Amino acid sequence: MAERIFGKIKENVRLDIDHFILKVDVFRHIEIKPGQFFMIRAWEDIPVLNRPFSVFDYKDNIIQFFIKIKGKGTELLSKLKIDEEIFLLGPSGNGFQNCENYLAVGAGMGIAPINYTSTIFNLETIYAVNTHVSYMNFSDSEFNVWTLDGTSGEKGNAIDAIKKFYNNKIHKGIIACGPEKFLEYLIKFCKEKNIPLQVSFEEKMACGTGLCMSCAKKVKDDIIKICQDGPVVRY
Amino acid sequence: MKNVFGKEICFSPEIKGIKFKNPILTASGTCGFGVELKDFFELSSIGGIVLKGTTLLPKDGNECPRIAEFNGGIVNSIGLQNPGINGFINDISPKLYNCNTNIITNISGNTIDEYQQMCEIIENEKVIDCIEINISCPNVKMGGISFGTDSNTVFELVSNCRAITSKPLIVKLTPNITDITKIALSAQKAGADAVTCINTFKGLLFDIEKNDFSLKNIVGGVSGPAIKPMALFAVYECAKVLDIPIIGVGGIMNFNDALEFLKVGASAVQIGTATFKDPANPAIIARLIEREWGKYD
Repeated sequence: MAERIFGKIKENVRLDIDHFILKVDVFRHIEIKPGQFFMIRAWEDIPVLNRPFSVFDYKDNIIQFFIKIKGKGTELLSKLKIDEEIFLLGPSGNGFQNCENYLAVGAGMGIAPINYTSTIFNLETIYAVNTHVSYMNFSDSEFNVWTLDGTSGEKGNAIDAIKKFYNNKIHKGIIACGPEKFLEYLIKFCKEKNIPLQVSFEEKMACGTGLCMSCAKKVKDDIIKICQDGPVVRY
Repeated sequence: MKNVFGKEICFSPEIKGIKFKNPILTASGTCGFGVELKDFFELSSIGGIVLKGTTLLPKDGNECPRIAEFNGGIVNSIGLQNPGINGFINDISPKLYNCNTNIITNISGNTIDEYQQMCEIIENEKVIDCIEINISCPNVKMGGISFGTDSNTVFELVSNCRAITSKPLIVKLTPNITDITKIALSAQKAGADAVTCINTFKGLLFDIEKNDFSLKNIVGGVSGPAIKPMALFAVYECAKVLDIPIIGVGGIMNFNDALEFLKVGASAVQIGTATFKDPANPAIIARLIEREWGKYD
């Protein structure tokens, strides 16, 4: 159940020009399922909306968020200093469930919910990005890195990586998060190959708690609220 | 505490005999069907909950993106996604029994007949204390022009609903009009018990990076702090001419904003976008306004 949580910045780690990891101390234990997210805010009225972020990691009352600077909200978050206050609303959403022995795939920023999930379920994990990034060791987990241009790890996109790694003798399915086009392709791919799939979707949202219906969209013939019925959809 | 017209502002306002324990309500479309807020505060701590806009038949709403943000507010185009009035009554209203606050259903229709049918269904529903009529919807029989922009249409719509329901009728006015007082007076003449000032402003945003409109529907309703001065103006103008109570809404982010609305002529206020900032905000504002009441005489 989503709660109002008042936390403080434990650490704000700048990874490169526009990526950072925000570590938030919430001073108590909170039940967080892998794949769940928080709406977060560290400013007064402007920007008007809180910002949704999946949990990148969580232990010992510290929640980590992996964030890319995109606009005003993320820029303000990137400048937060140790001990500054932050408001969290969550954890929200359903999260990944029963995904033991699944292959985990995070494309781009989609690695955020995948990282925490693969830690909890101890999953083999693919991290697919366009090009080499300077912060490849930003997680405690080990990733199989794939880059489109071959500047780090193996050369190819996330689907190439899945084709190489997925082994139906070892893996029971796939969990994934990433750009919409990749997920659309993956859904078709897994349907054809009869591979169980859990996908975490992203959608613009205002409240993150089911009040506003901003994030409601048609998924598998049903209209679902991504913030509550999602973000994870099982195929 | 007196308003700018020298009239005493009542902490517990009344609309057609229905008493509100304090002047703080939620705004339609920002609090789901009220049930969702129970996780964050006791619903009984505020004067009333105005539910998500409801139509005669269920509606799927618009395609995403349905929301976009700018410096000072948001633009939304949800498209009235709702389970229909009967869906609400069967599945949701039992969860609102004994919530110990006023429940206000916000209704939308394509024709006057649809509004009337909804009023008829609501008349026997004990959970619903008041009806808020959304007149910003397109009138299908008038070629899609909003009901709320023509005073004769508003008169016809409100008097037809009045003929059917004994529950308090609140008319939610659109600001997308030259003179809001004409519409407000029409609503009053037709038997409205209160008006809500105001619904969202029409607006759009363009996303340069995507090279496309920010909303799939292109046009949406603008809300948030940016619209507060216009909302205050609408309340003030209506307060000059109306005898019925005015519920102020538009960009209220804190109790100070709420007091501004009460001072310029509102009897109660609705908290909308601020509920997205913190879902406990309606209750927080209600508590602060109770504490500060009388300090601004």
